Amino acid sequence: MRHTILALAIVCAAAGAAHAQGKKKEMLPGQGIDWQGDWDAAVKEATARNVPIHFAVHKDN
Amino acid sequence: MSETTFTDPKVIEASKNFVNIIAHRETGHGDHEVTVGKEKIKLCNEYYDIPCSVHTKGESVVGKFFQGGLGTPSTVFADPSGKELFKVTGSMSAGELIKKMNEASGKVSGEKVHLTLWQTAAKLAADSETFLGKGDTKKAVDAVVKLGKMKGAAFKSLQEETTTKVEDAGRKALTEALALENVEDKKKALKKIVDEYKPLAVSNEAKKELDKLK
Repeated sequence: MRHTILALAIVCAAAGAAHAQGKKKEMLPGQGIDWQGDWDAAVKEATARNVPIHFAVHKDN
Repeated sequence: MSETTFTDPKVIEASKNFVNIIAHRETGHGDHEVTVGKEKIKLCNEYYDIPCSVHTKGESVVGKFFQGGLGTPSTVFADPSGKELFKVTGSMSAGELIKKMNEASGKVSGEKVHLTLWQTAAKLAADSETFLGKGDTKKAVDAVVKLGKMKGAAFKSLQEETTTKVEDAGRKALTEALALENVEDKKKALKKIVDEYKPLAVSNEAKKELDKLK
């Protein structure tokens, strides 16, 4: 009985993980925000286009 | 925010009126492989359409706006020269971020160039150089002409830079043509420059030289 419950728990956890993975959005370059990492290039482009700079700082949860 | 706010279509559209920089030091979230055309590339699991190297590089920007500790997530809006307009600490919903984007945009006066238009111009400039490298002068000139038709001061330097490169290639061809001793060969080479570089200035210069031989 304990083995059955354990096996069921493993299967459910795996299914949950697979579902979560499946929910991850898939985007190809150009489909999302056009993120850059280079400050000098960003300022050069922002100046040429006369647009503001949006800088986001994040870290892993 | 990366799972929801940054993938919101309205945020993506609003971001096209900005230059966007992301700083995220860690890469523990991993990446995944996708095929783009014939090429396989690795894209970040957190920001989806960029490789992790983009957000780790962005980490070097943090010191420009934050000294010591900072709360994450944090957002900084700066003017086109990079001068800070204001900061926001904490997560934002798509609606909240768009509101802040509008606020930042309102602080920058003058005509703004949308990302799509900017990328079109950049592609035309790149295409012109590629075609020139391949010896396909006519297509290089066509790209320059299309780029030249794009209105706005923002494109001026790109237009000038790209036109100069093609004109320089034309002048090199003109010098080589004028150095030919056989008159018929010279006429043929000049005619080719006149046709291929039209409507650029070098085409007119070649036409004048050709007329002298008639």
